[in-house]
Amino acid sequence: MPTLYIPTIKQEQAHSEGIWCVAWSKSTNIIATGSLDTSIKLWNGATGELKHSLEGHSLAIVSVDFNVNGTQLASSSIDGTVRIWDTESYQCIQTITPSTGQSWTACFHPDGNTIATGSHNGNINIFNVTSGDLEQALATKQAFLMSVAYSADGKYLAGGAQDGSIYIFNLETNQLAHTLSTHSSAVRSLSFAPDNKTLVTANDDKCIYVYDAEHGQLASALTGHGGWILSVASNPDISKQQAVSSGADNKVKVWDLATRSIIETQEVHTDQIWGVAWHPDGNKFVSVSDDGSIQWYASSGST
Amino acid sequence: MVESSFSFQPPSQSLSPTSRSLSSIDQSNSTSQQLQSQAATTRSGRQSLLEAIESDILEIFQSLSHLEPIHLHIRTRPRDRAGNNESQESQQVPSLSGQRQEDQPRTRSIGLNSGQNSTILTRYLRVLEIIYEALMANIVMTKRDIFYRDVALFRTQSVVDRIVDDIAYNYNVPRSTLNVSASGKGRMFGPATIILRNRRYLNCLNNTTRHPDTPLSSNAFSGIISNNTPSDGLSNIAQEQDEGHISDEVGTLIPPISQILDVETRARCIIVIEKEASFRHLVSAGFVQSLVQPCLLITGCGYPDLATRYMVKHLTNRHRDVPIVALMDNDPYGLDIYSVYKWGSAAQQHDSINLTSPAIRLLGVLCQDRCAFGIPPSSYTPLTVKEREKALRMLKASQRQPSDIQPAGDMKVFQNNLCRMIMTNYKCEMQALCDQGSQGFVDYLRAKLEPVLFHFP
Repeated sequence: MPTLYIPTIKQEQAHSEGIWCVAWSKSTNIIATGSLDTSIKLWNGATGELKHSLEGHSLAIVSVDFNVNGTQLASSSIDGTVRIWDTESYQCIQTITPSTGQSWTACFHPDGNTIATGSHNGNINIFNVTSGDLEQALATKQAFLMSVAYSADGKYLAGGAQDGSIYIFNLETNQLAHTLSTHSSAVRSLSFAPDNKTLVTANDDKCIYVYDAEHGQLASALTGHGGWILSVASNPDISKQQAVSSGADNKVKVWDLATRSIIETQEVHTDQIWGVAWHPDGNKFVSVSDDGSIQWYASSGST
Repeated sequence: MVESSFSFQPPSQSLSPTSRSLSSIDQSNSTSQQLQSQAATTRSGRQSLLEAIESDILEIFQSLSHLEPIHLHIRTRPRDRAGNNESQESQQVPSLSGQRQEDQPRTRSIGLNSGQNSTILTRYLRVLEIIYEALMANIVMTKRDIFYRDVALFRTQSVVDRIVDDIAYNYNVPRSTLNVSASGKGRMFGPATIILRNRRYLNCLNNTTRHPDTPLSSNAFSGIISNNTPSDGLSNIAQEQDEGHISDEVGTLIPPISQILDVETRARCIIVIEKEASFRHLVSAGFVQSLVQPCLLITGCGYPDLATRYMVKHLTNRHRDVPIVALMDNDPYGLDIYSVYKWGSAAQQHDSINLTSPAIRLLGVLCQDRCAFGIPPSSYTPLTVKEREKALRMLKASQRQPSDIQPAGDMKVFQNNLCRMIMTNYKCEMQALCDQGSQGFVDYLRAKLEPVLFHFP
């Protein structure tokens, strides 16, 4: 069986402490990594060179996310703030300070005007990027809301909680469309597939659960990881129907969602892997780990 | 010649209700005369207490033999609504809520007439039984010990606390006469000798195994003394077990600071352990004796009381070249306890110069130990809401500390551990290391200690 994704560039000691999140911008080919060392670093997506280090947060960074055109980066930290950075001037253009416990991971709405965050008491909060004000708070069942994700068309907003519950909000109707509580351990990461209907979720019970977000049904359960699954990302190339996951077992796995099988397992890191992110063309991805390094992978046959 | 070689001030007179060792502070004010008369009262108090308990039990047996419903009569205290458990530590401090008594003292008669009363009666009798055993064997226990004897029956610690206090009130004796201690819960074990002001010595290698029918005082040194008997000259001096410091099952109870003249040790490392259970595990596994370099084990049994913190402080002052490390649970409370030893507590900030040991370093259990030691995911449980809130509060408080707090790197390690805990949202107890066989804990500790013991400055 030929190896489909091979490790290419590695940036060792990219941060002085573990790296906890990663994002790959869609059009400007920049990779952002956030670390326990409180800094965010921007890297050239093609060469792996460091472009800049963003300082300002006082505690560990838990999430980074680019807006659709790559001009802004949102970062959230255990220090309780969400910062918006201009990716060209490297300035922090906005610091959102929600009330205590009212932010966790943060992601941009596809239109770039608002940011959704999780929270410690279950709310999904929506903040205005320009003003920093709280626009909306979507209540859930009060478990630590660990992950949030928008579908690319902005129709759905999903949240995953510590107790295994997954909430899918339909933003066209402004309703909670589905509450999925079939599993009881933490959902740390979720990602919509480019079809805007399929939701891939990571679970601490070592399984990836794939849902039909429209009908609120479980489509498949993928097993294979040996530990908590810390991150999942759907391949943006709609023709491929793939997802990549990373876990506390120090492994990265690429899945074929159509055949529900593992395409590839890579064990390059020496510690647990907190984040994975795809290049927009779906041929490359990166993983970041507690070992402080960033690893690039490319599909064989691509540059 | 032993001379007082430490120079810190006596404990300050704090009557704050959150201070956990009020009774030890009060003891420091006793003259030796008072101590002697206390001892006399204690002896006769013990005897009459035993008789009183026996007569109450006999009454129950008599009811049984007459096929009559049994009752236990207990004089209950006025319920103290405003105080918390900590304010009931000392009998000498007047009740802070004296003006707010809801009930008058009354005699309660507990029988088997309902499910609830049956449980209450069973609990009272069980505690009485345990206290009676302790009195007969001349052993001091803590309220926690009593709780752990029958967790399924008691369900919470506060139940035990209330019953013990009720029993003390009922028989009109101070709780210490019941041989139940609240403060002074710290213990130590290892090659160290505590020299008391009354010129007596406590050998901390004393590990007496308790047999319920053997009076303790006769077998003071029958424990595990292996080939590593201390040969530091002090073994030649007559070592009497001091009456007021009955050495409990495992380790030596740390005396109130006012009674300590000095502490000698030839340990090459001091390990402060959060949990008493882990402390006992190590002592019974012969850990101290098995190491090439001798170590001293200390436990505060959770949040340390003043006597334990003074002891740790004194040891670090007197033996500055001996590394001191902390072994805590991998949860916010473990880190909080570590920070109390290291930087102090909010309640005792005024006395921090005497109570903090900045040299103490965090040995484990660290979040990173999961990968390094292959701790299985099943040993981890999610943080509760309160634990997460506590961790976030601790982080905020740590950020308010002066940025030049020494030692510099340790604060970062502390904050990083808290961040990791919040990020993974998991905690893990020290006991988890025993999940792969009880040897797992000892192996873990050995591996962790190696760089500490063999580090050449």
